[in-house]
Amino acid sequence: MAYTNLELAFVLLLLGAVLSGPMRSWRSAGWTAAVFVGLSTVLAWSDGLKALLGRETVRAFIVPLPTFGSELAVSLDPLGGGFVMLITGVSLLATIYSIGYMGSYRHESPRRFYSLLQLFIAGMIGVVSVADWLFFIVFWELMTLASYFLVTFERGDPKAVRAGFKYFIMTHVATAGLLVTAVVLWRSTGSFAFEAHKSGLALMTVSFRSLLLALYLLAFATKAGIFPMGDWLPDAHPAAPSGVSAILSGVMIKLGAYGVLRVFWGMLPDIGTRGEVMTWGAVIVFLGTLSAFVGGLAAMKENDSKRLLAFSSISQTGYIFLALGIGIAFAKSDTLSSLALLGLLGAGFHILNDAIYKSLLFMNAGSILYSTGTRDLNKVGGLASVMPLVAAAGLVGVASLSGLPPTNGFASKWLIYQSSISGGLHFAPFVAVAVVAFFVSLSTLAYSLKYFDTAFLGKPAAETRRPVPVPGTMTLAQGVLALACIAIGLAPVWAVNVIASVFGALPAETFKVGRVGGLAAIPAGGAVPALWSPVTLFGAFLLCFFIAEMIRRCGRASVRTVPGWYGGEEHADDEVRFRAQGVYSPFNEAFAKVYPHVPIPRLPSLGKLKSVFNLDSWLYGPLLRGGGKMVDKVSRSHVGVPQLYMIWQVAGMIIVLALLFVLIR
Amino acid sequence: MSVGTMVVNGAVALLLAPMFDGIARKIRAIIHSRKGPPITQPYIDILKLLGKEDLRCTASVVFRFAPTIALASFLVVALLTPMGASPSTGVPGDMVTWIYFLTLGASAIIILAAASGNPFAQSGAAREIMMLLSVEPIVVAALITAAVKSESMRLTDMMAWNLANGPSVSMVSAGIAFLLALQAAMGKLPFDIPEAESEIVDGPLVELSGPNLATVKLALLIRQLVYCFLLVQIFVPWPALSPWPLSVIAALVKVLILFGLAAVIEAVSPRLRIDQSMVYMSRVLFVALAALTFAVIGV
Repeated sequence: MAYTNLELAFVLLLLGAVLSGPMRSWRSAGWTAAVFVGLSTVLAWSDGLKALLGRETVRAFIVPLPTFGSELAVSLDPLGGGFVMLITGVSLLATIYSIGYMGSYRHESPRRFYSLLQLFIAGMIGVVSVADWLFFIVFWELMTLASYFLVTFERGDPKAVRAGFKYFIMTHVATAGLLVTAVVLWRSTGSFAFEAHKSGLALMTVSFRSLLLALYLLAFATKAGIFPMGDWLPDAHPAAPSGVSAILSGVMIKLGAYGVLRVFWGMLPDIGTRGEVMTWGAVIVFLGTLSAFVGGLAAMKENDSKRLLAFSSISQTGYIFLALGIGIAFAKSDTLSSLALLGLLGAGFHILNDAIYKSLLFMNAGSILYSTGTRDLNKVGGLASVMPLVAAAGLVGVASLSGLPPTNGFASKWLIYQSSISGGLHFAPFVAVAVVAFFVSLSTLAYSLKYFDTAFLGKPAAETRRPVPVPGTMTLAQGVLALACIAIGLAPVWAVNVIASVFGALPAETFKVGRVGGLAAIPAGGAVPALWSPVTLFGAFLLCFFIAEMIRRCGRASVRTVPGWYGGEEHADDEVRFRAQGVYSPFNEAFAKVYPHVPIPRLPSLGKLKSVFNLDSWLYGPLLRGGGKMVDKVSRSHVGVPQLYMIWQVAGMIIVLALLFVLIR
Repeated sequence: MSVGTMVVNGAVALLLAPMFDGIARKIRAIIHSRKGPPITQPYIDILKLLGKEDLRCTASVVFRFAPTIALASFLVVALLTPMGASPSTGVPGDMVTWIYFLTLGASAIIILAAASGNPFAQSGAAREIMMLLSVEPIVVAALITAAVKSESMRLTDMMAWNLANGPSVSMVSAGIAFLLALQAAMGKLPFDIPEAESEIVDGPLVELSGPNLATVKLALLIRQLVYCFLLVQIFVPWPALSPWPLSVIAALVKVLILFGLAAVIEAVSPRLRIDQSMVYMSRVLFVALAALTFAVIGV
């Protein structure tokens, strides 16, 4: 029996979890975890690349369970392969980052961190590498449980505990939906395999199928943090240690998009469902647009660095769902195949890019937290002078998040705009989506500049302790991600070609590879002509930069350093610091009620839940007390007077005789 | 040939942008019953500033390079803008690229303001973003209207479509919406809220001096010019004259008319507050969305 590298990677992660568990020192536990995650990353990438580039499905049977119609088997198709590479890549960098970062948790035990982290990664790998709903749910739960314990890592912080509880409850309610669909389809097909469920869905009536699909969408949208369902996200992501936040926002919530792709792109019946697919696509587009809009505006108001990024995750996942929905809406159309591909490509590319820059930015916010001890953007400032490399990485991340050319964020947004405008030609409401997407992109610019400007630029803050430099491992992880942002941004066509192979279409159908690796849409199959040639335009930009610098320098002006000008008065740095809370206040007042925040349930409700399982309180306790009272009453008859006992005996005999008399007669 | 077009565009932007400002200043002076400075005054100002002392209030690298990046991005935008010399294909970009390079330049100015650490500059920068947030959706909606009509995202295709098919309800209403937002896009009164000299002393530019100020001023003049060119070339592309220099001259005349209009409005209006401007922009956005709806239903 041949083993796949992926199985080996999974086993290595479990082994790493066991080995790093008993270690007492943060440093040795961290390096052990990094070594195991690193090894499994290499192994997982080898299989991922085989699936992705070879366009084949890597298969291996492990445990068949014929009685359940299920089997534990590796089944890594190109889509799964891409996700496995993304998960392990980001996780490896986050683990390396954590080695330095977790140094600020000296008082805690590493036992509760690295083992869970590796289980978490293993769970995510499991989710994307099976083709069986039973084990999908098993791994999904492993992922959720491990991440729950990581979110509540700071046990002493009641906010973190409550956030974790909210996360746990909300995702589990949604997972219950997944369980219901799996069991219903298992009853009708006798199998848990994806393929069987696809044919099972095809045989159902439209209304019943819609119900099941709604349950799927609920489960995956909740995990992805889509607006009404994803309310757990802005509480849970900031609460986790920053390395974990990077994985949560970078890859875990993308698995919601993975689920949607699996079901709505891969499992819908091929024939006779065009209108249905269109409707579901439109629903997903609507959810995505709403989420992008609301998340973007909520992030503009936020003054907590990690909460700001968490809202940004809601917004960016909205973008992903928006493009995904357009791809799904036209997926079954014969004439608009290129348009469908455009949407799916936009979604897939944005998943990749958001994973890169969002994990970069969470690590960046973590560096600020490590250095200054606060997440409050009002209390930090001028950090670029303390950690210039981290600031540079943050600038790349921020530029990428707001989609400024020539970063990777621009390339995927370009695809998303193009798909929504092209989609609008065939289904009018999608045009409005394009306008909203542009607006959200500007609000993205607004909040990401707010984050960067208040934290790294301006005057140093006096409210917090003196910033400490961050360890090299933290800077290294961010540097790698920042370079990836720029590299993918300059040569998007390679990434787009690889992602196109996930969706099983030849890239040449829609895209020609420009002379210098740019993207050009060919007006065929519903796509409209458009052109983004990063190298040409970046070359033009460099030329213009050169000209502009020549103009700037032509006067040979002398340079002199002077203090800032504050209307003629002298002020200490802290007095003239522009705090984060003041930025955009007129705009935020206009959109004050945009994110209706559901308060985190307080722990008493958890107490009620506990009391259901506390049999002492409602079963044994009352029984015992009732029994005791009865015994008390009986014991009162024992007063110690012989005459009274004899009367009882006589009375008893009379009753017995009477009974006998009645019975015998 | 696209390289030739780009050279012409770049030269027009760099060399003529100050002239339009000079003409606008002259018109304003006439309305104020003043003699006003000569039309060449903006050139003189910029040249003078280039030789003046470069005062730095911070050692930040961002502060050092942001003026150049701003000018470079707006120059790239100018290269992508149809200015009359563009053939139908060959420009390596589309409407999304156009908008994002414009945003890149605006971001450079905002980051520059934040890096200076001056609260006047930072509140100006925050206002700049809020203005972008209320103005850009209108420009975008107008451009998407043109994209829907011409079924292309390339600016030159939109222009060619309008030339070939003549005016339509949706394109005209989109042009009107763009025109109503133009004053704010150009950063002129009553919408010069980010700069507001009498209130926050030139906002993002307060800590700039000498060559840095000259670079940013030139960049902002080029930004005014490209907005005007985009409006006239996509929504009013007529007349298309056959040798390209004539076409460029026709475009320049149309832009000049827009600058004159803007100068008249500027001379007679007081400055609005940011919330008043947001209310106005939301109404204009309604016009732009109406244009988009017209385009979708095909008129």
